[in-house]
Amino acid sequence: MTPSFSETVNLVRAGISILPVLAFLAGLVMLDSFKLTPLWRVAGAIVSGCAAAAVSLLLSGWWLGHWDRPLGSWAASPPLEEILKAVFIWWLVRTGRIGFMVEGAIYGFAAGAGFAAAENLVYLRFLSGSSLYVWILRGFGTAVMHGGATAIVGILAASLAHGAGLARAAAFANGLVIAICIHMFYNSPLLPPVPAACFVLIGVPALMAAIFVRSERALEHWMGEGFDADLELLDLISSGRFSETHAGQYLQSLRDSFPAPVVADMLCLLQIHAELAVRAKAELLKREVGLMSEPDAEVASRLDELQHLEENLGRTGMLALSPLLAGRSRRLWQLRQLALSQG
Amino acid sequence: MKISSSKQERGVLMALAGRMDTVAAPQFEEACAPWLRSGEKTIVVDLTQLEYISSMGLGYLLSINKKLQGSGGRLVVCGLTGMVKEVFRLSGFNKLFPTYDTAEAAFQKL
Repeated sequence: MTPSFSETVNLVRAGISILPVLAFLAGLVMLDSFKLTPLWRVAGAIVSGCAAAAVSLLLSGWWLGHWDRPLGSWAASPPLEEILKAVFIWWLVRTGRIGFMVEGAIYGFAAGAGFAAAENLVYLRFLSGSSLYVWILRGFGTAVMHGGATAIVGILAASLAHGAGLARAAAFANGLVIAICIHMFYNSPLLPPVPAACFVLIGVPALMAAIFVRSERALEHWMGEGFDADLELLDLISSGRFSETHAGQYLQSLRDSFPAPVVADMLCLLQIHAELAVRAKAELLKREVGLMSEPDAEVASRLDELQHLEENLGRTGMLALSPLLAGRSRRLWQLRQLALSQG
Repeated sequence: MKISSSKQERGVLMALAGRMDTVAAPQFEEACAPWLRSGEKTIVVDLTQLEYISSMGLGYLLSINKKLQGSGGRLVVCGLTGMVKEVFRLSGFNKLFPTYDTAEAAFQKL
């Protein structure tokens, strides 16, 4: 059956309101040269954005029915929407799944894009009589603004993803405040729709370009430094000279507090961790040149052994070992990257 | 982990190669079981080719040593190198077992 004229128009409206932001997101994923963001997790971020939009619409409906809104919707809805969109980003940061700003930018933009896509599809039902101009503004302006605002939350949260809990929470909160302000400014009557859309279309790509360059430099620097340190540690352990180092002496001192087999496992954990860290960094280098690894039984067995050792050591043992395992969250992040390559 | 064992004049020589991790360590006990059943009193474990050992592996060495001591025998370790030597040193296990540089030296001292 041939679609009617009004159905065709609606399809065009839906396409215009959704495709630009999704195309922008696809571009960001392709530009990530280290392929840090697996597609299924980007899809998860989009779904989380859609869910945030659904919750937001429900809460807004309840709000509209029961509350007076002196500030008007341009000021009232951004805090709620930005908080809901940022929930998934906070979970990613909290669980060590974001290591660098480029990941924060992509996941944040994906969550915002999911939100915008769901919101536009709902609005399509209520604004069916509106002109194509409205949908061009919503697709190229509002949708990209949603993506860009949540990307800022992700970028700032990622910038301190490896910091202490309070610093990490503060960075996330700062990002959220900035996102809310941008969203309010975009919605406000102070800025006409066309300049607002132009502002977004110029500002978001410029911000993303700057973040990608900075993040990749940081990643390359970390890989270079980390690779050397991991190899040096492996060399010390395999040559039997580890006990002569400060780290070795520190482990010896732990024999006063822990049973001997536990101290032995601490050394085992350091070795396995260094082996896996080297593999993880090599994996990132391979991804940069477009090579994808096949699952490796050796890596899988090392990851299993690492898990056994961490269980053997327990929280107290891991805490005692923490001075020798600097950067817990980045350590966790690189192991997650390696585990991802195992499928 | 690869394990080879052979009967010598003064006991049994067991050579371990590869990684004695959580999954592989029980293989050592399985490999020792026939020799224990046949009444062997001395096992010399050559670790020259062993690259990795965790507390699980140490635990199995202790367990076999205890069984041998129960029948008046003992477990002797030789060929400690690299990471394995570090683990023995750190855990103090180098003082729990008689350790020698080579299997020949171990059998000579028995």
